[in-house]
Amino acid sequence: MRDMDFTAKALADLLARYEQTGAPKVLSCRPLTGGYSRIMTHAVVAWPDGREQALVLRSDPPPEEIVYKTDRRSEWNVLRALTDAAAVAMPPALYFDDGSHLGAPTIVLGCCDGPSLQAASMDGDADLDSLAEQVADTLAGIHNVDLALLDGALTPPDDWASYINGLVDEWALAEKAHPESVPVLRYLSAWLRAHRPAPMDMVLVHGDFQASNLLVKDGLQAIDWEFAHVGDPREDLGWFSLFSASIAAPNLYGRDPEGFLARYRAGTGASPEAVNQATVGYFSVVAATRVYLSILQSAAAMAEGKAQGVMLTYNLNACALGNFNWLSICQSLEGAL
Amino acid sequence: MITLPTTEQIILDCRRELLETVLPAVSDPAVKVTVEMMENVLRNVATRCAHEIAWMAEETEAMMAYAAEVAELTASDALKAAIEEAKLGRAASLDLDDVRREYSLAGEALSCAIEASFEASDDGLLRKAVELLQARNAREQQIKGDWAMIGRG
Repeated sequence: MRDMDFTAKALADLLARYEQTGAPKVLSCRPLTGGYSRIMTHAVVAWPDGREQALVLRSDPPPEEIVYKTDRRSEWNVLRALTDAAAVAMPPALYFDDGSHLGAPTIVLGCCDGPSLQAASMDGDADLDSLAEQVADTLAGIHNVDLALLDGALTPPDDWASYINGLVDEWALAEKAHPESVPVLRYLSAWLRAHRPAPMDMVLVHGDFQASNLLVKDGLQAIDWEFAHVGDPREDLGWFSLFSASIAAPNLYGRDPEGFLARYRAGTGASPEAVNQATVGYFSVVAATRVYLSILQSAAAMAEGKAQGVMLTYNLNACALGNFNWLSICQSLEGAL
Repeated sequence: MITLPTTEQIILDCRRELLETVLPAVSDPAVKVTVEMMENVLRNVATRCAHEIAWMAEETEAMMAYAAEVAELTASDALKAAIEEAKLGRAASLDLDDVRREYSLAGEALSCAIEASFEASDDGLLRKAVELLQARNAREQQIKGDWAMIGRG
């Protein structure tokens, strides 16, 4: 069980360092559930003027329990640049701790108290058409961000072809480095190489764009940017389509894919040749690379006695689901690409 | 050795105890999620321990047969080497570690055969590869069982 007294005191120390002329008092801290990769904490602080503010702390778990290996400082740099530019609707990034206060690298964000899109869409009264439109608009907004606003927080790849080749090859390379064979990954890598779609301009990609990473509050707010990078916009579309088909909530993409993509194209100026159901299907496989391979690497670490935690073994089911889905997707796209 | 109740039954009973005794006594939401994940993992493990040696042995035979067929029709050095290594790595016993090692070597032979089939653009061979992968995926689904992302949303 996490020590909330320690967290409250450490947060107070961190805030005192940032807000030297009037740091707030920490009134409460409690664990938040819902995230799979990071340890989340909800805190309430009171400022000297009496105003109360809710914060969310996003911390790395202990090294041996990390399933997704991503860097908090890199995520902080992206979040800070987006916050400064007010470029995307998201909870503001406020403070960063390299671990010297809270014991683990931690990003402190403003709290958005809306429900996740997943929860909101399961409400019987939800206007699913409107929510789907908001998703398409939100994604278009992220992809329209001027990369110059990121202020060097992300390094763009050299060119589209080498970027995609790298992603596709990653499946096979990771499989070869894994302590057991996973033939479906080698099949996917070869299949993706043989069916590459037309290129697109590279944009800011969220990297884990799905219904539980969107909060419904004054529109939609995107959270969990740990996989953010510059890449192909269809990665986010593909991941959203795949994820939406895999959760126990209304499928906001699958209920009207053509309508969803038309809305997205209208918001970005993308062509129907570049963004269509077939290319989104292709990228639903490509986009899974980072998450899937992180789980695979954690499984390898556990097999070598270097990692532990039920989250890790539990997530192997996501790999099984992925193996099944991606092979099915490749089969369904034969002839379309 | 005592074989009844079976390992599968023992694990499923631990799972029942976890759900009926432990979970109701847990109030911390984060710990609740952990217990629910443990329940899921125990179900996965129960299915695996009941079948995995037999399933791996069956799949190994099918994968090696396919690899041999592709090796006959293509000229892949990587495939030939993988087949050779798999033959040398035949399981010395039915111990799980031995069977698992052989299964993995056969999987590498299958992977090399798939790559050789793509290289040759041989649709017939690729269809057979997909059938093998689908059979493997079907068993992974059986192990996975009902699965939803606990605690998310």
